[in-house]
Amino acid sequence: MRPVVWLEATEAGWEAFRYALEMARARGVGLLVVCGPGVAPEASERAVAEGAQQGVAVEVRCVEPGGRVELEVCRAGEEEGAEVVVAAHRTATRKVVLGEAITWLLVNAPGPVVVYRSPREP
Amino acid sequence: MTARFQDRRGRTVEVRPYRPEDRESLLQMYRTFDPAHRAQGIPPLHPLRLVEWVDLLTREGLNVVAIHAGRVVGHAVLMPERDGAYELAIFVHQDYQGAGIGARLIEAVLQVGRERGVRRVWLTVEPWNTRAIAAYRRAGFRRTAADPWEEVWELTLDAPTDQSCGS
Repeated sequence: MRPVVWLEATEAGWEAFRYALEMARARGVGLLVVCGPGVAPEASERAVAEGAQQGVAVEVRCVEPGGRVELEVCRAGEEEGAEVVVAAHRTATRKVVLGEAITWLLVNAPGPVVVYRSPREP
Repeated sequence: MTARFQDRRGRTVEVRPYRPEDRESLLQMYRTFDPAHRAQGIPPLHPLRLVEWVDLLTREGLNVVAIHAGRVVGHAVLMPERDGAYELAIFVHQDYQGAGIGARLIEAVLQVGRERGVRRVWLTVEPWNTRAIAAYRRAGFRRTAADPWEEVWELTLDAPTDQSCGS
């Protein structure tokens, strides 16, 4: 029952990651991280390192170029039987947009989907 | 560039570029903005987040305001993005909605954009916000993407005319 998080190498993406990490730490379980093809290997290493600091075992799965990250996130959520965490995107005016991939996840994910928004950002 | 007109309720409304002295009145418009009319998470509800947001828009964007009786009652902004496009957002206080002010704000902010060399404008809107969508369509925007929660509309601006440059 590890939470699954879609890691994007953005400020919002890292905040969502830390939210999922805290969720895992509080439950005493690991965390499954799914990275898109555009995420650098250093980001995966950083996720594992941050997990270790919190005593959480982080497993990273990277989607091959051309693959759909939301499919892998959905598959991982189904395997784990746990919620998936994704970061909402914000536009220049700070409107919250979901986009096609998150919309697809909301409809197709087998369990709860947490669309994370920073409580600090306007 | 200042335009005065009678809105559909006979009120004299002025639409013009934002000035620093408008800040408090603009904040007050958003402080009294009906949360039910928020769109896609903005304007922020928290007072500090609201100030940060207004300051961000007015610092980095091209802003116009609608004024009635000395108070800001509407606001439109074009916010620059990294790829050279600008995002449009517009808010009209609930007491002034449905009076034609939104269309004037869109027209004015697009004119300001033209004069500043803006070419590509886009926006995102909730599909159920039919009043806003109708205004965007009338302004020449075309829908380029849609899903159950949001739509994307885009517009390419023409270069400014000699007449508009001097206004």
